[in-house]
Amino acid sequence: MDLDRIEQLLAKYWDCETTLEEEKELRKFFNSDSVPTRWQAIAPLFRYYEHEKKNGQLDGLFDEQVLAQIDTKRAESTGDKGKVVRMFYDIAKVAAVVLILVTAGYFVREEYLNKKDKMDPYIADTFEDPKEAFEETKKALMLISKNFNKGRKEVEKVGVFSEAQEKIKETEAL
Amino acid sequence: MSLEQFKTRVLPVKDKLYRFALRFLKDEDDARDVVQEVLIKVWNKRDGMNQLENMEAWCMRITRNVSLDRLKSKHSKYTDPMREGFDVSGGENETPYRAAEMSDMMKNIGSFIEALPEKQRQVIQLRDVEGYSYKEISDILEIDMNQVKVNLFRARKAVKESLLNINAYGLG
Repeated sequence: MDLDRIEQLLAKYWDCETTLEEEKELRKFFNSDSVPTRWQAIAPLFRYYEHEKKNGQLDGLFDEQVLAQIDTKRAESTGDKGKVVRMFYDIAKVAAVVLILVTAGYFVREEYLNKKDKMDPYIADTFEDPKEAFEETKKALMLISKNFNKGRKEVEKVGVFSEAQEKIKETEAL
Repeated sequence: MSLEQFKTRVLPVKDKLYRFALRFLKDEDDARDVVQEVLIKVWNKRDGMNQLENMEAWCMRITRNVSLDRLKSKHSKYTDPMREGFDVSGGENETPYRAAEMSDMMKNIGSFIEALPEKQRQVIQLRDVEGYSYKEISDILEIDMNQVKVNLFRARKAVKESLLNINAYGLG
């Protein structure tokens, strides 16, 4: 191989101006056995790159593992049975929620009705005997009337003032 | 996309995805899990894939995102400052087999690249190991082209300087 050309390529390589093809050429050259002594220091670099590329490899077992995983994935996604089962699960979820709501609603209603039944008689009928009830009502009304009259007397006192005021106005007018 | 297409178009990319994930996670098992997750994701999104202009770059981007997510969740689970601060060289899982295979110089280079800033490390990985174009790298890392070039330039410059240093003083 033309050593001048290698020299040139190497200079271009350090300046990052080489193309991929030229870099391949360099790599090939330095991985060959006929590297002149003046480049003995540089050759290991390209050998290292070559070595890295050759060395880091996955074994055949890896392919099998990946393909096996993909196979199971494919089986999952294409199976119609899977879809039906999934749909059934979805419906079951919705049904469960509905069931809970209905049961809860039923108990709440029950509770409410029970309360209403128990409360109503006490509010409607406090007395068994109508006469007694009548007496009780009369008593209550009397109490109101008594208090009302008491209030009226007080107001009558105020009425005296207004009468007096009117009289004063009349005398002033005269 | 049929399973056949998946096998011929997506599966062959797995090693690239794996190496890329390994750059982030530095753990072979984790990287393996990530690639598996990515491939399953790709399979699930296979319907929209025919519209993609560059499927490979798209896969790489998913790998990056998944790896970052995993790193984050790992980080919140337990923080391990020792590992983070000191482990700049041992991340490559040096099995005896690998160690014997690599020359000392190459090991030095490896640990030096491990120690580069994150962006530069990723760009070097994508360009010099995997051979992606600038455009593809900018798609994968979701940064613009200039950023890609700047990072690559810095990374190569740092690598060059370290090589010359190793050569001059005989140490890395």
